[in-house]
Amino acid sequence: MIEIRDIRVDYGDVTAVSDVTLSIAPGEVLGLIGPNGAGKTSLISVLATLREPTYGDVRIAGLDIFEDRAAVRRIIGYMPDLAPVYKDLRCWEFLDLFARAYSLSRRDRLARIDACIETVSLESKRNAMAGTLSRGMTQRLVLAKTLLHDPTVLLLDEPASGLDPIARVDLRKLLIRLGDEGKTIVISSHILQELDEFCTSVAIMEKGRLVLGGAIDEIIASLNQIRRFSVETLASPDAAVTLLASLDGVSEVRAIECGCEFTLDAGDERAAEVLARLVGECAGVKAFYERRRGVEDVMMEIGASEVS
Amino acid sequence: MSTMMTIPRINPLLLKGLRARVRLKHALSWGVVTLTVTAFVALMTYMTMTEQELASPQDAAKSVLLGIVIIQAIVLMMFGTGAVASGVASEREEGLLDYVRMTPMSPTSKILGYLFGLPAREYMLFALTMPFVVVAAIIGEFSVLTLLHFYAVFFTSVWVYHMTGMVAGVISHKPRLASMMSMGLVVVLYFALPNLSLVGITFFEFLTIRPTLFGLLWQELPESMRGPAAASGIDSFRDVPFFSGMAHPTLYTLLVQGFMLAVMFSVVHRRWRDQASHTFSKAGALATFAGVLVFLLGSVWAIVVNDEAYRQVFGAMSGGMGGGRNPETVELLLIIAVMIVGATFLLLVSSTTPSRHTAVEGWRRARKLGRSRIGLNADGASSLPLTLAMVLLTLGGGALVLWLVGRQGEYYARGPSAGSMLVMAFGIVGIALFVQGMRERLGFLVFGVAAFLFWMIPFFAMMIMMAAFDAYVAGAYVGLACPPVLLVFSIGQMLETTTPLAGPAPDYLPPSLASSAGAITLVGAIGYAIAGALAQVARAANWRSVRSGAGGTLSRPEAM
Repeated sequence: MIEIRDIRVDYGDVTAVSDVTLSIAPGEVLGLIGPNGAGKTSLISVLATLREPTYGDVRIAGLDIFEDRAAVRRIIGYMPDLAPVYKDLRCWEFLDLFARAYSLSRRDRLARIDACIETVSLESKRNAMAGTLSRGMTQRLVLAKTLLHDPTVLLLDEPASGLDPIARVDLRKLLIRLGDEGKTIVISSHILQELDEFCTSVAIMEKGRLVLGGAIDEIIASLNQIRRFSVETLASPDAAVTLLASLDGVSEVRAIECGCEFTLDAGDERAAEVLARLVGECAGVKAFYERRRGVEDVMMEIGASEVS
Repeated sequence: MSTMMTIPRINPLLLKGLRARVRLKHALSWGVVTLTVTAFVALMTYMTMTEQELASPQDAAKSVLLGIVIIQAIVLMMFGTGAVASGVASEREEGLLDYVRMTPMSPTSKILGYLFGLPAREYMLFALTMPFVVVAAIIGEFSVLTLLHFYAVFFTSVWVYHMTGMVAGVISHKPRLASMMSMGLVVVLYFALPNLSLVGITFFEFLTIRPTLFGLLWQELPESMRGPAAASGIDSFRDVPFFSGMAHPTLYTLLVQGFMLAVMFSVVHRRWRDQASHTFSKAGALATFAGVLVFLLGSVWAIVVNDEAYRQVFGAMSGGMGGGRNPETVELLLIIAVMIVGATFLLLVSSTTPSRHTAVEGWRRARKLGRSRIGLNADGASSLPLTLAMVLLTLGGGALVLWLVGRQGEYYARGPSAGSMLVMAFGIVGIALFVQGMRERLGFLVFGVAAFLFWMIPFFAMMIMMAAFDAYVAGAYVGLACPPVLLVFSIGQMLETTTPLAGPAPDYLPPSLASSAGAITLVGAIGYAIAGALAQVARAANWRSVRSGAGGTLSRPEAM
């Protein structure tokens, strides 16, 4: 769906994006990860046809984004970081402006406005002036605007910034739903946990370069085989910690609030032996499980810094 | 997408402007203020004139109409321009413009939407004043055609002003700056420069509604109320001498305003496509320069060949010439033309010369595409070819004027010497190369400060030396550091070499300078030729460093 080849973006002496090549399949939800200044926003603004790169090619749905701008703009929806709104328009008027700009017919326009307002749960604010909305509500209104013309590609730059925890959960559910509907989504964030649940792939950027990219599962599989386990205990985990520290293949043992964690450089059979020893020698072991590794673990392992 | 329709029924940005700026609350408050002021002006004027028997009801109504037109001009031209400039600039600063840029609306629809949507409130206020115009027109027995004619020109002027505001909005970075810049542009373009019509350069005057206002409405007033025609400005609404023919003032107004609109439209269009692009493309700059040159030549040509046009402008200066022409007017015309061309050149070179970063980007792009050079029209390309093209056009235009003056045979018996013309051409080329080279080498800010310091200080020093100490020759040498001074001396010196017709020899230069003028201009021309060459050497060295800098950072990262 999106083919990025050798993109470079310069701002004066600063190279924001340096020779990035990336391919995003239809229906893929790509998390663009990296610290502040990594080049995520610059790359997204190029994809959004807002900035011409120093050089490089980008094709979306087979269309060259600089040659076929108008056609590309019909199929992409872009939500910038700290998205602004027209403060002197009502929420529905704000959406109506863009519904008209995307040439939706009158009937479709009204239906889409209502549907998008419902999607972002802003029904009660339909007639409110956009300038009176809170930061989180403003983000939701802009998200509604982004979805208005039913784009097949969504470019979301830090969409969760300013959202309260409940709204974040709603956003996550919405993005999962949109992903299930087959939309291709590029979402940038430096809050890794929120990407974990719905991203099918990640692209990790640092200092303008693509450090790592691909499907999350494949990346995790490609990393070394050390596995991380958690043990939950009814009482103090001291005995379990002492035992684990003495076992072969076990390392990085540390107590946590209601148990302990450790890494194991071995396969399932050895894990079963460790479990048997724990149950046999330590009282009160109530749970033992392998922690699923996510984007954050990937980031930690490849050593990218400054990620919150 | 099945839900798409081809053409939107109403421009979305226009509708947005109406919704945002003509909400009932605003409409009521602003409407009441406008109606109150307009009603006061109308009633006060009409009743005072009729009750005091200063004018007939018809003439009083005509005065009322003029008063309302002034209110309308303030509302649409001042407030409207400010609304467009600050509206575009604030949307750009906040990032809202990006939303609009991303929609599939065509750039033209976007520009038109903002052009009419942002000043929507001002259009509403204008509409509120129209009933007063209708009543005044009926009582004053104004011709409907005259009014329609006037308002056609009024609105094209309004759009020129609003486009000026939009240009300021897309160029400046802050809404406040945009507003100030638009005010500055309006004052310079539509109040200061129109005064050049006093010396025959008419086209700036026709950017304003002045000729039409005076010619169509003011003249309807009795002479007792408006004063004699010459003093009232009625005379400015006349057929405009343009090259060898005469253009109807309305046609000329539309031509001049159309040119301005086209230039500003191209600027906004470019910025719309890419916020980081130069204000003008190289080709656009050359076309703009050529356009200015054509309008300038049209005015100068007409004055040189058309007796009526000459008398209208320089009649007073030729009082002692027995009906003939004063050769000093040629000098005045050439100096003004050179100053306008020079200012246009400076503006265009400044806005099309790439910064080091733009040039580096250009080289990287060119190399990536396997090209050995940056495309001539690209922002990253040097402005040297454009400079040379503008110099060629200038020299061609100058040669044409001199040929025309010589052919006319009414200014001098024999034209300037070849040597003096060569020195002048040499000076122009040297100055152009110097300015372009320094601008490209030093960058916008440093060049701007350096130009101010190293051009203005010698100029001021020259003025003081000449005025206070009568040190004309020494002052002239000091003043040469300021390029326009060399151009003025060159013109004077060139015309000094002409053979006058019978009668007193004209004073092209102050007598104390006349004998040294040849040496002064030669020194100046050689100086600028050397300076121009050195500036170009520095520019070329800078260009090589930029090129190698761009090449040094082209290494590819490891494959992912």
